[in-house]
Amino acid sequence: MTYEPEPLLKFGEMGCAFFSFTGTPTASNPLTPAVVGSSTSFSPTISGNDIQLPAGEYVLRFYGAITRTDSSFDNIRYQWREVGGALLGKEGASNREVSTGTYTVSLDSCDARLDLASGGSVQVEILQADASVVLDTANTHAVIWRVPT
Amino acid sequence: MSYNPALSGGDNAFCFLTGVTSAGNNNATPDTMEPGTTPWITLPPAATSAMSTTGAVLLRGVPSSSAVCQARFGDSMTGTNDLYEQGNIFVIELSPTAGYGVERSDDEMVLYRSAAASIKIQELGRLTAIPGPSWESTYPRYFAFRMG
Repeated sequence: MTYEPEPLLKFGEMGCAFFSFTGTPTASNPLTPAVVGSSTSFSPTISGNDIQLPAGEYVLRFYGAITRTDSSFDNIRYQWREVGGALLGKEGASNREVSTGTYTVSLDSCDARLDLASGGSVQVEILQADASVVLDTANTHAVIWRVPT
Repeated sequence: MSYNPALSGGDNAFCFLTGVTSAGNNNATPDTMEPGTTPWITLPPAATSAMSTTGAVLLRGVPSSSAVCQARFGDSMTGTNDLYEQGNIFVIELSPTAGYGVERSDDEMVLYRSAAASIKIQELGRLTAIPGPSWESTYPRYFAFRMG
């Protein structure tokens, strides 16, 4: 008889998915994701701006990148949100040049953890964006790790 | 015969750690975790304490400083680290006249422990010409992956 304690089983069933994003960063609006690839055990789907997730335990990490000229101070801030619910985890922001009084901190990623008992959806929401800021879609990406519950 | 117990209702596999234990004691170890009942992690019980794990854990994340600094940070309890990478933090322009125009780089620290361990995240070295870091609680975040 083989017995595997539960935590080891969960670790063994861990999956992950990689996402790219498009869109024009605008405050209080989400970016539009696309699935680049995922583990065979974890197949998230996209509906509009939502990443649809099956039941499970998740950690989510998003890296936002923007295109900037050497004379520009354009920046964005962003955070994960559960669709129909609250903002999740900690915010991230582009690597800012000094623009007095505008932004608070530079952290390349926004990060969160989420438990979904019966599935749900998440978005990456722009908290703040300078006018005319352009998303660097070649480098903006997210990784979501999942274990089943 | 193979027996696999049900996956539901057990311990969480991931933990999201935030906050800071004590700026004054150079202790950037997180003091808050999500979910709040994570049986395989114990948060620091005192301002100078470490956090502890009951088994193998992969930890990665960043602290945050409210004071200007250029410093290395990481786990000061390195004796049993299996895989370990320090991070660097670089904070400029924090003053009333600079408002919130702050640059805080977020180079991550990453470590893996293969067994129960204590972890204390601290400044490990710094440029002494500037006074920081002073650990603050708004922005730090770490992922902990239970590995076994």
